[in-house]
Amino acid sequence: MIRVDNLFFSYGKRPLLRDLSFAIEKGEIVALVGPSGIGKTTLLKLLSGLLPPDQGSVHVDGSVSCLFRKEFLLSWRSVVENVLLPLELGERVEDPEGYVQKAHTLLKQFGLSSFLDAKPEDLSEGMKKITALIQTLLLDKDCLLLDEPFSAIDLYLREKFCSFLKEHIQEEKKTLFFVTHDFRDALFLADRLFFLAGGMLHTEWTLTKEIKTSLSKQEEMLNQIRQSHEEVHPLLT
Amino acid sequence: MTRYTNAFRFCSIFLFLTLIWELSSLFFPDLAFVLPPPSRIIGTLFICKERIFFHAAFTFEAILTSLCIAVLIALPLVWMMARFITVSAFVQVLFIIFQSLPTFCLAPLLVMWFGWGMLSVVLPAALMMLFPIAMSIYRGLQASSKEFSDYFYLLRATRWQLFWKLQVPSSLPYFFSGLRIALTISGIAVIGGEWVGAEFGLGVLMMEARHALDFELTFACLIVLCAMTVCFYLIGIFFEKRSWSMYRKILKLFPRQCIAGCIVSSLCLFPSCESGRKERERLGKTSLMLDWMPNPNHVPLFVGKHQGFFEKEGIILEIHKAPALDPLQPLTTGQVDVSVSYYPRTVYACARGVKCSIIAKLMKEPLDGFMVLEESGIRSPLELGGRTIGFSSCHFASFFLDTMMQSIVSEPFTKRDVHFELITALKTKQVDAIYGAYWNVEPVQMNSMGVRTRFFSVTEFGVPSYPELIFAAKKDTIYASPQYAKRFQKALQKSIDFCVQNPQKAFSIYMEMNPNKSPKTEGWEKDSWKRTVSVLAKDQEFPEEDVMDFLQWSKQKGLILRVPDYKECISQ
Repeated sequence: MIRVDNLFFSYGKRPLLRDLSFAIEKGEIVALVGPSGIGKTTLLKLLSGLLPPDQGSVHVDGSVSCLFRKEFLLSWRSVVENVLLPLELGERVEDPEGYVQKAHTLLKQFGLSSFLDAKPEDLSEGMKKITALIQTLLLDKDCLLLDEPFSAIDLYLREKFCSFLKEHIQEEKKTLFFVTHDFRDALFLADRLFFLAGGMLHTEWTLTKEIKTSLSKQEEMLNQIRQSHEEVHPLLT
Repeated sequence: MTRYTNAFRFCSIFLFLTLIWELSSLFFPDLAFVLPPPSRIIGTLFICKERIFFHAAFTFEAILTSLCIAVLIALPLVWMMARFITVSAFVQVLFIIFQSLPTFCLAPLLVMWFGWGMLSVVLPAALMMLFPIAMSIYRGLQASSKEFSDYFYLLRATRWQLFWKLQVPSSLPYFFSGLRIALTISGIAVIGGEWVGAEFGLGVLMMEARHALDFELTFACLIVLCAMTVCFYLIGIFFEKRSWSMYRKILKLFPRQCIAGCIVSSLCLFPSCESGRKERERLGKTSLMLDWMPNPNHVPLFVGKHQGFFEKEGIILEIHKAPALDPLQPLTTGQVDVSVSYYPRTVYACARGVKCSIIAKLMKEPLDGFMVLEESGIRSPLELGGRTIGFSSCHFASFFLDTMMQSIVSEPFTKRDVHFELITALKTKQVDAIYGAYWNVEPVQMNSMGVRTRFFSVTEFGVPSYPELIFAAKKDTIYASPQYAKRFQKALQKSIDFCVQNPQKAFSIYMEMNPNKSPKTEGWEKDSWKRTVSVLAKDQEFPEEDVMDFLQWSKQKGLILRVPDYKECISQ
């Protein structure tokens, strides 16, 4: 589980997060939305331990794997070598052979079988993102933190990957916290939706089965999100 | 297709310009003297190919060595810069200071510290190359983004893994772009070093060619240097394209610790050992440096060595040719034991307290003087007033020139420093007269080009007579001892006597010991030798009266502040 209590964080004199508190249970999927520059990526970095909080506490149960907006593909390594990079580093993998096998299966499953030896520069943005997602998923951590994971991925692959991800999280009882700008991704995957503004959780919705199936409810919620954006958007205020 | 079209365009423009160059030399013969036509340059390239490639091999070796040194220094240095902010701040400022210093300024100092040879060529060149290489690797290391480093951190990579698997590969393209810049300047850097501190190499050959007014050879050297640099550049590009795959192969072949070990051990092996004077003393060897490139003035030395006159006196002579350098400098720093030097410069150095003394003489009288074109109509030294006089840059030459001119001409004259291009300046009429020409060299050279000249010796300006070329040794060494001087004088005089009696044979020996002289050079040197024979020293006496006369005159003219003792100057 993830627990954040009275979190404060600022870049120099610019305060970004103010008294932020929330909790995410194990096996839960939570999407984070909010205007650009409001501190969503910073929050992920704080959760992953890359940044220390100024005040308050961050607590994450179990191991974490992250995927930030800029995918971590080393340009001098092929697709498969990039995916297997964690094996060469400090990661402890119990079954390296199984890991390699799984990597190949996933790459094949998501249409990258003919690009195994290609360099990242030969891939489309969507393919790069898929490769990076596979790399992150393979690590099999308890908690997944993803920053705009599906941007640039085509509709077909996006839906396919989302289904796979949801299944994986629910089966393995993992926690997923992801930043998105696409309401449909949030609606399809998440159990809850956080709207971050003014350094704290501005609004929180529980994505019930009712919302997920009713178009009018979705429209109503989308309008609320639009309205919240208008209220707090840094470019408009 | 575009590549071929571009190549075709380049070739056609290049050929067109070459054709213009070739044709223009037909219409402007004066221009052809300083800018020989391409056909003659290519011809020289083929005629002197052995000589050029012999020297090119040295330059090639120097470039490669300096490159290796630069890379070997850059790698650990950059690692330290990336690791410690203080080192980075210090080194970056140091680089800016080094970059603002031209190699030419550093090279003479390095010659003084490290001796006279490969190291003095390679070190300044390596220093020049170090900056682009080190800075580009450093920029490359910085270029691996913070996010990537964070990612490695999240994957629990160790610091070494971060270095070898992220920072090094991501800096490779930067390293190669730095390497390409370094390779393009390597030619300039090495040639610069060779001008000051080498015996072989294209730089030395170019200087020799310039001295012999063989501009075709100078240009041929330039073409070879250019080709060499372009090749290096292309090789750089070739490796750049394959850098990552090569890096990974190397990493697979050798463990990382092994590579680090190689770098460290090669750095330890690097300091080279220059043979010291003590060692030479023990072996009875004498390292002798000429005042310039081998020329007819030095025939007796080569003859003495060849005929064994020196060996008979227990002196094993090692003759080194000198680039543009003060002959006393390597003497005082102990890099050579005996130098062929100029009399006035040497006694003035003694007057200033420099620890050197004269041990023997090569010439009996001054050779120095003024040269004018016959067509200029200047018939006597008195007519030099109001004219422009070119001289070779040197503080002392400038003072000497002033003194002489003031003693006979009241009219002001203009001085122009033409560096070592005395003949070119006179022939192209940039100056009316040149000072610093030798009676037995420059007029002969001009004559061989069909240019008639007049020569006025310094003695016509009231300068007391002195032996132009002498041998100097450092005080407090066995080479400056009267015993050694006597042996040296005996061998030298025997050689001179042999030369006077067999001038033709002597010249053949000289040519044999200095092969690869172009036919053009051989031609004028033969004429020059005929004149030289008549001014060679007849004995090895230095009458005290003559020495003191010259010193008193110099003091009176303000050229020296004090008159040194006879024994301070002459080792007898």
